[in-house]
Amino acid sequence: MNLTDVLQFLLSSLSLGGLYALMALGLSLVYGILKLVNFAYGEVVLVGGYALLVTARGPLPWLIAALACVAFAVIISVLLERVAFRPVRNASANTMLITSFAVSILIQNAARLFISPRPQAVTLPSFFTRTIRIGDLFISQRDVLSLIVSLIALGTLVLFLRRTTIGIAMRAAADDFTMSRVLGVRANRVIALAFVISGLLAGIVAVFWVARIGTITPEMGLTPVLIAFVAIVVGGMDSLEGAVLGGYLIGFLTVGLQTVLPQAALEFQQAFLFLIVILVLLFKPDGLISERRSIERV
Amino acid sequence: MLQVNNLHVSYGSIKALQGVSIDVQPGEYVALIGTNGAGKTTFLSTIAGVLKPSQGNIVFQGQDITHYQPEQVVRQGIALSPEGRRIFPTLSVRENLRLGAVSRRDEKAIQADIDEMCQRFTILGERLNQPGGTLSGGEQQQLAIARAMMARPSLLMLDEPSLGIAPILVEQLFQMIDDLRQTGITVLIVEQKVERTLQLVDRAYLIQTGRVAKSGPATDILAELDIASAIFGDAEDAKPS
Repeated sequence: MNLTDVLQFLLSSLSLGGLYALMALGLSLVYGILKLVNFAYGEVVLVGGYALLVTARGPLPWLIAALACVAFAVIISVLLERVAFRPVRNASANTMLITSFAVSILIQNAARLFISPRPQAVTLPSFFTRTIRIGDLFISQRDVLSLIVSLIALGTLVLFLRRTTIGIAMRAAADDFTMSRVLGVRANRVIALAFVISGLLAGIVAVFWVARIGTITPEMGLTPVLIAFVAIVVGGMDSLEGAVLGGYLIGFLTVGLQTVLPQAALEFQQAFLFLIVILVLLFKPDGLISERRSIERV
Repeated sequence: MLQVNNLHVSYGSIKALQGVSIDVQPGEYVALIGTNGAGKTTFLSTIAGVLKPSQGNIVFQGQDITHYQPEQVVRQGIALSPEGRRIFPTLSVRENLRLGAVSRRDEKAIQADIDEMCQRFTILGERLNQPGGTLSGGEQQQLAIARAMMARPSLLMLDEPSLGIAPILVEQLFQMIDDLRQTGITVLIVEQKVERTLQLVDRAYLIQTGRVAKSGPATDILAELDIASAIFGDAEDAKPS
């Protein structure tokens, strides 16, 4: 392996891992506060994708289409909280989980019925499809862009969670929701905000995910949500840092397996990926970062 | 200031409180004493809005707050330092304190109050940027009390502040709670260290199996318990039963 290969590998892993990290973080933010694994999260990406599809066909600049994608993802995320999850908030965790599956299936089927069950090609701007060549190194602009955007999004979110009072309140709510309310944190506000942020992250992912695969199908949300779920399990269910770490780890593993596996074994790439995940969990059942338990002292 | 009338609270079919009534006057220190499982923590949690009563009402400064949500109760001026302290482990000491004032809007005064808490509880000043989870039990307890004080409450509720704290630090902690009297605050405290608590407070209610068994000035209850212990033997925690 020479330097070019290493750089190529790093770029691919970091750009894919960044998207997984954003998804995992969006899932983990909501999970931390509501103890809900929102399996309808993939459909938030889907709705963003369709918004992109429609606006990108129009005469508007592509950046506007990308913003529309993010905006619609936020709107659907907040709407889901109000319409689907708030009424069952005080029910058991299982009820919420089943609700999220129901919503997921509902949106997918609505997409099949009202849009199309077939893949829809998305018009992509040239700066997404172009590659730059530096010596032997081929750099896809899309990968660079997705790497940078995900880092900016993560950085902004970290600042928000550390520097603003509402951000600190969100972290507290994830630590101990009831206690945060006793101190005066407004339950509806932090939950709504968690869905806004998680929608925002899903919208950003949607733009780059669509740019990666080029088409939109009603099942498009399945892979990102599944990977994000695995990422938060590996990283540690209760830890936002764990979600980010898990996301990047899965990114590295996916690209790494693509590189090292022989051609014949490539179709089992996912199987190998999950095998590694199982191994990690055997040794670290609580995930890589489980600080809440390790810090606790009597 | 606080009137609780005929409060009933159940967990499923288990009745934790069966008609408890108490009242607290402004500036008073009042204790709820009683054995484990008598319903004292249930009582404080219900006032804080965490648990919902099946009967009875809670009136605070003329307002009926019986059905208030926790985030509304604290805005009325009632703060709780809960059993087990419930410090946010991943948040720094400073962030824990800041959140204690999340119901307030006066950012400048909040920063000043954080400084004041660090002077009152000096160990917090030294640990300001450490995660709350890395503090010892006694330090966490001070943080829990300081965090509750950050809301600038008129009524401070303390649930088992001495629980799980090294015995040599317990006296120090009681002293700190006593020192809060200068601020003019009203305190409702739940404690198992009965004798020491009765020396701290003005009045006390003895709770037994979800009911008020006895109430009166702390000195009277202390005297009665002394007689009881003279007859039945002396075991600090077992005294009220």
